[in-house]
Amino acid sequence: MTETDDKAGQPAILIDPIDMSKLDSGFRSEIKNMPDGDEINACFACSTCTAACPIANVWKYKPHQLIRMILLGMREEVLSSEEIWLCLTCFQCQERCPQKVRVTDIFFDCKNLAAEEGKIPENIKGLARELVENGQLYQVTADWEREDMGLEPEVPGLSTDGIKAILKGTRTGKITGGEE
Amino acid sequence: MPTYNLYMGCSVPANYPNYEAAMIKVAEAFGMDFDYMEGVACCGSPNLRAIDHMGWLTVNARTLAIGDKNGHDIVTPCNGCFASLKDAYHLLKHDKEYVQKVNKILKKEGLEFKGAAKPRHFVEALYTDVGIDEIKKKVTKPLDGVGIAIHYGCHVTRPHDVTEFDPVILQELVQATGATVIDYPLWKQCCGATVLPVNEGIAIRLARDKLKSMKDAGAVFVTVVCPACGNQLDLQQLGLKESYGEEYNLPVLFYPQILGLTMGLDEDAVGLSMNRVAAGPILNHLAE
Amino acid sequence: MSDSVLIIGAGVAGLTAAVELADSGVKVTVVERLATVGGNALDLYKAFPTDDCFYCFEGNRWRPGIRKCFYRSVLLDQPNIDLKLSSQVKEISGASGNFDVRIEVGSQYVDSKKCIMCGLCMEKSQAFSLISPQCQPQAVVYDPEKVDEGARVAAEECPTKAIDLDAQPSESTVKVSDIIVATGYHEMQPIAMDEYGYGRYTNVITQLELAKIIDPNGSSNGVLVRPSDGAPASRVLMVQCVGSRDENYYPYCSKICCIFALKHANILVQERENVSVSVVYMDIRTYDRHERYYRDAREAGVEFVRGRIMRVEPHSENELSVIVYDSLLDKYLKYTVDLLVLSSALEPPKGGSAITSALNLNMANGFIAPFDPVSEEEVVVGEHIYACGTALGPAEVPESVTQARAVVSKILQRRK
Repeated sequence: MTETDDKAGQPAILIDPIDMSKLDSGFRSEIKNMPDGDEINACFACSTCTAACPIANVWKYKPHQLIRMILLGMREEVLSSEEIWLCLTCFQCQERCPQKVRVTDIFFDCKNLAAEEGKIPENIKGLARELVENGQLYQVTADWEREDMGLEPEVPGLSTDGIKAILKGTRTGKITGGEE
Repeated sequence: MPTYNLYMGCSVPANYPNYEAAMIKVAEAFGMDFDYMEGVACCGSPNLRAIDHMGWLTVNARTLAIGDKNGHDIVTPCNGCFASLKDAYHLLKHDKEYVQKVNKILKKEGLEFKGAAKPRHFVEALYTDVGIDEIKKKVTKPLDGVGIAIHYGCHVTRPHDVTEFDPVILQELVQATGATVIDYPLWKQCCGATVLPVNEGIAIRLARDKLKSMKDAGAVFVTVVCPACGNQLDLQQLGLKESYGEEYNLPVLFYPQILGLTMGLDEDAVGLSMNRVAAGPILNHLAE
Repeated sequence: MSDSVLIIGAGVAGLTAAVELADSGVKVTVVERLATVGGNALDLYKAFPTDDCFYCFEGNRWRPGIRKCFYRSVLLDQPNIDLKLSSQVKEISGASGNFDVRIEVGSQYVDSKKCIMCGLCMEKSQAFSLISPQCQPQAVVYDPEKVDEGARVAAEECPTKAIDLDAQPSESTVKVSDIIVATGYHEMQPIAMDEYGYGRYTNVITQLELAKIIDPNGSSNGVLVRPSDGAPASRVLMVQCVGSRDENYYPYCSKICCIFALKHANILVQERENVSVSVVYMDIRTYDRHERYYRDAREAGVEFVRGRIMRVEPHSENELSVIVYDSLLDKYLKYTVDLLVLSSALEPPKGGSAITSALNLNMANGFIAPFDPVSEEEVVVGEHIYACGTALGPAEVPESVTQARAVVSKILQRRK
């Protein structure tokens, strides 16, 4: 019976299930092998991370669902999700996780994978440019304020050459280099 | 008292010279010897970690390696810098492969990460190395028990296995100035600073909820130890009048400003006029 | 060679072993740290699976006497039992099978055989109290740290002259052939878990604290009241897995908390007026026959929420506002409650490590582990050394009793 339904290309029932064979079963180990993914398989879906998150209510996919999606292999959906960029990185989920899953850190890993594919919010890309070009996110503009406080107008010891040189040779350089 | 490598990062010197100056004056009074680090710049912030883990790690390993030249602990007044340095330090301490990778790059500059110089937040160094007893001895104009709400900031306290920062430090430091610490339900909640570049609405809402929780619990002042948190809780109050029609009038002070005042520094010495929500009223709570 | 047995701890397991060995003609010395026997079970007025006092389980029904009367007759009158209360084992030396045990015996200020619990001393002085109406021996206890002017008066006016304020601690040495460690468990006080507000808000309590409140012999006569003002409570929220199955605290499942909570939920909903109970859980683990409690609870109208607590904060002076994330619904629920009851982890007893390290016992998760890990003799923890009850890890009352009987059987078999 199912065979004929398959041939017709329509699901046998009204529900349109996620075809597990089309998911990326390697995504779980890809994350596991990243700097903070060690414990991802330990997740037992208690949803403490979501309960701990101060902004999960505005997320389409909640923290525990994102972890679940990683475990199932929904690579495309996770890396394209807005949520990983909305993460406050406040680490409340990670701190409360009873199974020591490094939830926040794993979202950092996801963002790195997304960045590698060029999926970066425009404003974040702007910050990257700032870093490559100026070596700093903030520059002293009101040096009279520093002088008022009895500080040297220019920050002692500041040198941006080193950081600029490093970032040009890493992914930041690639993200910001050339195009546009 | 030991000598420290002072790592300012970019935000405090550019936006909060009052924080920088108050910290240096307070540290000096306790004999903490601060030397600005040579040849350093921005830590890259969590945003850099998000898009370029290796770049972020190398940039911070570089700062740590510069600290390793004299081996003195690295202190910083910024939670973002602290988190970046401490996180990188933690990873490098636990993973030799990464040490090899970053040292290969750093070698070009004649630098090497050795892990001798430990990154620390200024308030932790003050708490641990100077100690509450010594601090109390120098508090000559204590506060009158006025209620202060503490916002630690996420990146100094969590994740604890990385930061190793105990969230009693500021409690005790604030109490040492004669103030009362106000407990409020949202004490752990994020100020919203990190999400500001991606979603301003959420960032403002978080700051607002936080301020409301503090105010409802009876706080008269707020203290922070991070320029980004300071910006969120202080500056955003001005915008809340428009966006939420709410006025909190909660002056937000960096901890060294409060300590400095109670140690007898005057309001100009701690740059009180640079705080956005008028912080002058704290002077009325100081002992004569 | 002595053939008597040392039992450390007078809770469910220790007492069962003591009574059954004594009945079999073996002399036992029972050393209990506290001034009353019963351990954690003292605070339970109903134990699963029979909703009765544990000693009235089927296997014990033949015994003369009923609940609360039983101990008095056996513990005080069975000549083979030497009960040492407020006492601690100081040192164990000698060879296996021939131990020398040094016991520090606390000052016996009140002679429990003379005390008639008239309450006169408690009226005269703060230093006297009745730990629990169920306490055994049935006697008041004296706390020298609370001594006041009335204490002396109480001692003089005691109608049976049961009080001796000048009693001194003493030391006693016994020789024993076998040792039974029955040091029990401690209920975790989850102060470090900020999200639950325990220790910060008085109406946040643990399941054992709830058990005391609803005990008909307790201070509110079994009426469900909130600690903050003593007023009747009607809205109760329970949270499961607090500190259990949590790598940051205790990685194991504490095993009895689900049934413990369900039992309490059922009592509150079925036997008290106008009480509603909601239970926040991540998994309900009612293994074996205990599934009945879960079904009974649902039928009785107990509400089950699959999710976790987001935050607890005061709603009013005597009420709590609790935000729960419901993971099935993917919604946040806000409860206003009188009591938040935490099903807190069972942890190893405090101070038990001195004994276990002196005896060089194997440990697992802080509890005592079998001597031979591959054997099925979980109660055999050393040469002539046995353990039973929650000293071996979380266990329900019947399981503790079974383990105690296994120990008794091992000892008797070896002597045949």
